[in-house]
Amino acid sequence: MSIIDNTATVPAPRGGADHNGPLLEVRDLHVEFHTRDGVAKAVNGVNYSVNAGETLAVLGESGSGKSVTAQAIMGILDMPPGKIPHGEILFRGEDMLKMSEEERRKIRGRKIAMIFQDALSSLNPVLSVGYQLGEMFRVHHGMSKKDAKVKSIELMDKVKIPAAKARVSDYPHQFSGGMRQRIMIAMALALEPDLIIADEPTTALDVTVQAQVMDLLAELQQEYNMGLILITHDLGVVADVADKIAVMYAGRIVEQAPVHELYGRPAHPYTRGLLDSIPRLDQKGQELYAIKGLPPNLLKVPTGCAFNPRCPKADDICRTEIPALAPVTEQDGSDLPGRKSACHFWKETIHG
Amino acid sequence: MADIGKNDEAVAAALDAPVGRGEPILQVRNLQKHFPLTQGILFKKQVGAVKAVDGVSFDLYQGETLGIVGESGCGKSTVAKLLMNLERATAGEVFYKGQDITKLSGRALKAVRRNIQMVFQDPYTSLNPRMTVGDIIGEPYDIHPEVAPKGDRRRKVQELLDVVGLNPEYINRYPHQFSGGQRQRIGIARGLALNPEIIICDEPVSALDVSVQAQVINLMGKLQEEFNLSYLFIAHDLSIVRHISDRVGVMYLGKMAEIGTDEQIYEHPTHPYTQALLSAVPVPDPQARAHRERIILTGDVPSPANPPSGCSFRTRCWKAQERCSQETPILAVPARFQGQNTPAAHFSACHFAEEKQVVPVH
Repeated sequence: MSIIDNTATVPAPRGGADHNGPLLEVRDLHVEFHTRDGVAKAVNGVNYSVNAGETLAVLGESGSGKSVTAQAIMGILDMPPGKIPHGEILFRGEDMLKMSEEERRKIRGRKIAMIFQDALSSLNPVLSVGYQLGEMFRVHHGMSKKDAKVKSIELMDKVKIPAAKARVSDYPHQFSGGMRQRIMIAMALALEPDLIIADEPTTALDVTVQAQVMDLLAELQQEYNMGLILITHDLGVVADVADKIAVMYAGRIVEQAPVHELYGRPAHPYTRGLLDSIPRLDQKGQELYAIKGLPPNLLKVPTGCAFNPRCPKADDICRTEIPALAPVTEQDGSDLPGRKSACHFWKETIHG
Repeated sequence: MADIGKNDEAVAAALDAPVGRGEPILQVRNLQKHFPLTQGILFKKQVGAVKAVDGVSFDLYQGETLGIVGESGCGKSTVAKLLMNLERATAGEVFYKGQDITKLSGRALKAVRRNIQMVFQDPYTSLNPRMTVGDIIGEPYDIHPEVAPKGDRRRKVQELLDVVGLNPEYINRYPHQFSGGQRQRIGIARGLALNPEIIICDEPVSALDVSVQAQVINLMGKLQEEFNLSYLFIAHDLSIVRHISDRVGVMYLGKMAEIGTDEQIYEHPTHPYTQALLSAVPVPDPQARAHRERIILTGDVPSPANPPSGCSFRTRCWKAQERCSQETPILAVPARFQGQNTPAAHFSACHFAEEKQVVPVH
C-alpha cells in the first residue's frame, strides 16, 4: 500500500528505497484458458526476476507462453477465458495479483509500461498521435490539454522523431513503421516507468529500422536505468541486447542463463536445437539441423518433459517425470551463477 | 486466326524444349512497373506514379537459386508478380526460354504459367479455408488437365503429400487442421503439382517459427535436387538467403543495387546499402557484440512515388556527393575493379563502390 500512496503525484525515487530485492519477480505463475475444447495451460509455473537497469530476454516460439506471461504482469489478460490459478507477481516486493483493480491501474503505465508488437493496430487510427501520447499525462497526472501537448512534443523529440512540433497532430497512418514504433516507445516512456515490457518490438520492422529502434531502446533504458523484459523469438536480437535469457517452451522456462554463456554452452536440448538450426557459413549447401516435429498442443501437453517427443536425448524418465528447473554446475561441481536448466540430462547436454 | 494458332504452337514447342543446367532459363531485362496515382472521381487524371519496380535486370540459371533481398517496399514482391504475369509490366521484357512472356496472352501464357509456379508468404491466407487439402493441391489439374487424367488425380495428390513430408491420408482434411509449417508444405505441394521448372518463393518461411523454418528450408533444398528446379527466393532474412542461394541480388527502391554470388555479396559487398543491410543484421553471437562495426542508417526508405534524383540511396548514404544526385549509377562491374580477378569485381550500382567487409567470418 505504502508504495502506491506516496507516489500518487510524483514518480518514486529510482532504486526503490523501501525495497532492495529485484524490481520484478514472477513466482510459480500459472495461467490457463478455459475453452470449449478443454483447459489450455498456457503458462505452467514460470519464475523469473528483473533488476533495475537489467535486460531479460524471454525467448520462445509462438504458443510458448511468453506473451501471456507478459500480459499477466501488466494485468491486461482477458479474464475470463484466462485464469491465474497459482502464482505471485511481485513488483518491488508487493504481490500485484492481490491488489485491487484501482491499485493496479496506478502501476500500469506509471511503473510498468508495455510496448506492443504491431504499432499500427496498437495505436488508435482516429486520434492524432499527440492526443494519444498526451493521454498518459492527462489521465495519470491530470494535466491540461495544452500542457499535455507540450509534453508530447518533448517525448517525440526524445525518441528522435524529426519535426516533432509539426507532426504532433498527425495521425498514425501518416507515419512509417519505424516511426510508429518510436511513438509506441514514447508512449511507454511517458511517465518514466521503472520497468518496460517489450513484446516483439521489432518483429514487424525491416533490419535497418530494427537496428535504429533497438539502439534507441537501449539508450533510453540506460538513461532512465529501467528494467527491460524483451520478448522475442529472434536469437540475433537477443544476442545483441540481453543481459540474461529465459528460454520458454510449452509454458515453462526450460533454461535460464547469462547471455554469453547460453550461446556458447546450452544446457537444454531445445536451446541447443534452436542454436543449431541457425544457418551457418561452414554448413552451406548441407542440410540445416532441424528440430523434428511440431510445438505441442497446449490442450494436451505431453506427459513428463513437454519437449520429449521432439528431443534427441529423450529417455523413459523424460516421458514420466517433469524435470525441475535446477541449477547447472561445472563438471567439477563448481557453481555457474545464474544458470538453470529443466532437463534430466543437462549434464550430458552441457558437458557432452 | 490461323496465324495466331500457328504462332501459339511455335511458342508451345519452344517452351517444351529443355534447358541445360547452368543456362539462363529466365532473363529479365529492364523490367518496370509503375502504378498510376490518380486524382478526381469522375474524370480521373494521373498525377504521378509509384515506381514499384524501376528497371530491374537479372538472369535466373537452370537449377540455381537466386535470392532477392531488400526491405519492405523495395519492389521484390512486385517483381515476383511480374514474373508470374499476375501484374502487367509497364515496360521491359521477361524472357522465358527466349520467349518474352510479358507480351503473351491466352493459350501461350497458360503454357508458360504451367512451368512457373509460386509459393506464397502467408500459409494462413494463401489456402482456401473451404477447400480440402486434396482439392487445393489438385486444383492446378483442373486448369491443366493434360498433366493428370481425371481418374489419376487422387493418387497424384497423395504422392505430392508424401513428397513434401505429409501423411497421404490427410487428403480430406481442411487447412485449419494443420500447423503453419504443415500449411506451408501444402503450399509447396500445390506449387509442385504441375512439374514446373521455376518456383518463385515469396518469403516462404518468414511466417514460420524458428524451429519449423529449418524443416521447410531443408525440404525446399531436397525438392530442388529431386525435381531439378530453379528457385527465385525472395526473403528479408539474410542468413537464410545466404544458406539457400547460389547468387544474391540486393534491391533498393525498385532497383537492383548489387548482384553477385553469395560469397561476393556477403563477404565482399561494394555497395554502401548492402554493407549497411548486412551490418544491421543481429548476429546470434554475444561475443560479436563488442567488436562489431555497425552502420546504422538514418531515416526511412524514400517514397517510391517521389524517388530522389540520381542514385535513389543517396539520401541515406554516408558517401553521397554531388555526382550522386545528378547521375544515376548503372548496375555494372565498377570501373576500379574492372578486369581484376577479385571477388569485388561484380555488378554494383554505385559511383563510389569500394570493398568493405562487415560480416565477421566464422
